[in-house]
Amino acid sequence: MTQQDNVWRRIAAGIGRPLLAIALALAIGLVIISIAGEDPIESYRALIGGAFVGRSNIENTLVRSIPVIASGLAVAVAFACGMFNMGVEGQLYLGAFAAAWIGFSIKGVPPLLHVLLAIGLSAAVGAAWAYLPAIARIKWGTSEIVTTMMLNYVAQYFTSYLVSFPFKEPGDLQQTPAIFSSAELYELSAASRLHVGLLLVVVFAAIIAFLLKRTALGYEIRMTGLSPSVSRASGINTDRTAIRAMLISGAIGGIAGAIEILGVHHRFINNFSPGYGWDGLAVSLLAKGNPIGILLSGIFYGGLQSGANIMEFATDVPKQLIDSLRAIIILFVAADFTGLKLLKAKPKLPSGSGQSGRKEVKTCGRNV
Amino acid sequence: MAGTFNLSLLVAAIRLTTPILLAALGGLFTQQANVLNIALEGMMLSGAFTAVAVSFFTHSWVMAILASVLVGLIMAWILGAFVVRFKALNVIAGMAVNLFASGFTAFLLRTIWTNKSEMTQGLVGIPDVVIPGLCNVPVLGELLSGYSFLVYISIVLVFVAQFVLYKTKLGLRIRAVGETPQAAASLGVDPDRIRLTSILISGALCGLAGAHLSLGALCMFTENMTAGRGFMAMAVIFFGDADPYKVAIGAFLFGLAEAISMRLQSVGLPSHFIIMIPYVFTVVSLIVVSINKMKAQTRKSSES
Repeated sequence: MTQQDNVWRRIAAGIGRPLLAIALALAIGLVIISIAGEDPIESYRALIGGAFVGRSNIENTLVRSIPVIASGLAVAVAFACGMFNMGVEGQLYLGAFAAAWIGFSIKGVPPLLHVLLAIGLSAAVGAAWAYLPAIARIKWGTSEIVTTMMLNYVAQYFTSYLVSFPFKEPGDLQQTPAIFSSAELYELSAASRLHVGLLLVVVFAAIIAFLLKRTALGYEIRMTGLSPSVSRASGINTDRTAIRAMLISGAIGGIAGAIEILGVHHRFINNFSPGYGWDGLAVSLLAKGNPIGILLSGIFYGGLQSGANIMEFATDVPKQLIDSLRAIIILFVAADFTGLKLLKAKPKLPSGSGQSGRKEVKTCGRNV
Repeated sequence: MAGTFNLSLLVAAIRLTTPILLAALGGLFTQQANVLNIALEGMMLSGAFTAVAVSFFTHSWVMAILASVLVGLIMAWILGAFVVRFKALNVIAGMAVNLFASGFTAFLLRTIWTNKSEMTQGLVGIPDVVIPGLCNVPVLGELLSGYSFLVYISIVLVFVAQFVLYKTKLGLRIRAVGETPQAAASLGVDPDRIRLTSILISGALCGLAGAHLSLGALCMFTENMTAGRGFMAMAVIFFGDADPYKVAIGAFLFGLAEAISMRLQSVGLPSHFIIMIPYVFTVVSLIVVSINKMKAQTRKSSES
């Protein structure tokens, strides 16, 4: 009984904070919409209705959320190990191109095998792209935050080159030829293009949850993330663990791109991602890296996206307002307002302890 | 013919350098204070929008520049409050600032103006500075005269940054907090305060960078017009190890790469690899710097 109470309390604590942040952001949005001279109630009705009411709206929301959830899972694995994979966007682009390439260049492969080949290569490419920053971090202490972020641009420009020159489909558009139908993911609904990738990300979330909570590797990843020194003392090879976590993270990042290409676009399109990798970071944060939470927050994010389109259509409120509200949600979830109390009690603390509440000494770029 | 091509390429490179340089000069202060600031992009974008909006309503480019700096400061203050006071991870808070700036400026753009010509009609841009006497000298005139006002300011600011960082009490404190916050604290310096100050400096300069971009270079605002320049500035800071002179050189290399890639694009050649080079170079130099640091450390520990 008490154990059950604990579980519920933990769930409430996990959900309470994000919900509060969401409510706060929506309240701020309400004020902004009113100042802009629009009807906030009408706008929010369109937003929420457009996201979660009616079959086609729900399907659109889910389509939107698939790559975000996958990216979120990628971020979560690295984060569990105390590493920041800011390079999911780049891994996603490379994985997407790899999947498209398998899709359009190999003919006559049985459907399931074709999809598996494409996803396999994208995972390998994504992992390889994450390997360099991981190795540089472990061997020489180079901040992986900065290197992964810079490599995003390299990946994006590289795929952009591939799709503009060697693999460009004849015509005006910067896109590759379409993939063969054997490489397409099974479509669940023709109208919204909802595809079986939805089930895939659910399975992936379950696998990641199992990996982190129930396997030896997962235990080592989490221990390394909590305290590298304690982990080392207890015999965990933290270097190897961190590299494995980054490889898994990069592989999922690559798969996220593959799923989007094989499921929705059916070809690689230049700059196709509106920042799924970054959304994944936000979603992962909102869920505190919990895979099941990432499913929920990913769907919420997808809902905000597709709902914003409906809202813009139904009222005169530009959909970008929702991006601002998303930013406010992230900010409030990331903040630790217990710091407010700390501030009052501050004179008692040694003044150098400002950093100590932070989990993140290693992000400090210059000295690493 | 080839000569003029090169000269105009250089001029284009200098124009493209300025926004990156201004943002990087701001960001190097946070870097010196050991605060990873990924919000340069967002603060710059806010400044760019503010410059256009204020110029539109007041018809004064001076007011526009001042307002951009102010808005840059406000964004930086919000970021600083969340990072320093509320202990948000600076990467996350910075990302939120970027996302907010991108969303909110686009929202305001669509709310205030119905179309582009309505906006550009009322705008007063930042004037170009023609250096009397020099502008008639054949090569030097073209190379040195006729840039937008803030181009010159940015060059002056390189030296100002160098001075502030290495010759003033504030600069000393920023570097001290960046290197060993505990030692700085034991000498009565509040590290949090210094961190916040460095973030504010970066905000002001990013505001300036934005104003140059929207009102100095183009005289209009478009959605997400910073287009990753804030991240280029970040790369430049790492490239130049947060030293003003080296950062200026790095910013110019980025500007040059951008100028060359634009040329290549205009004749239909692949420009992707040229624009990629600065990023690759940043990653490589980061790794080299950390290898050297590690070697120095092991040497030190083996000596003692």
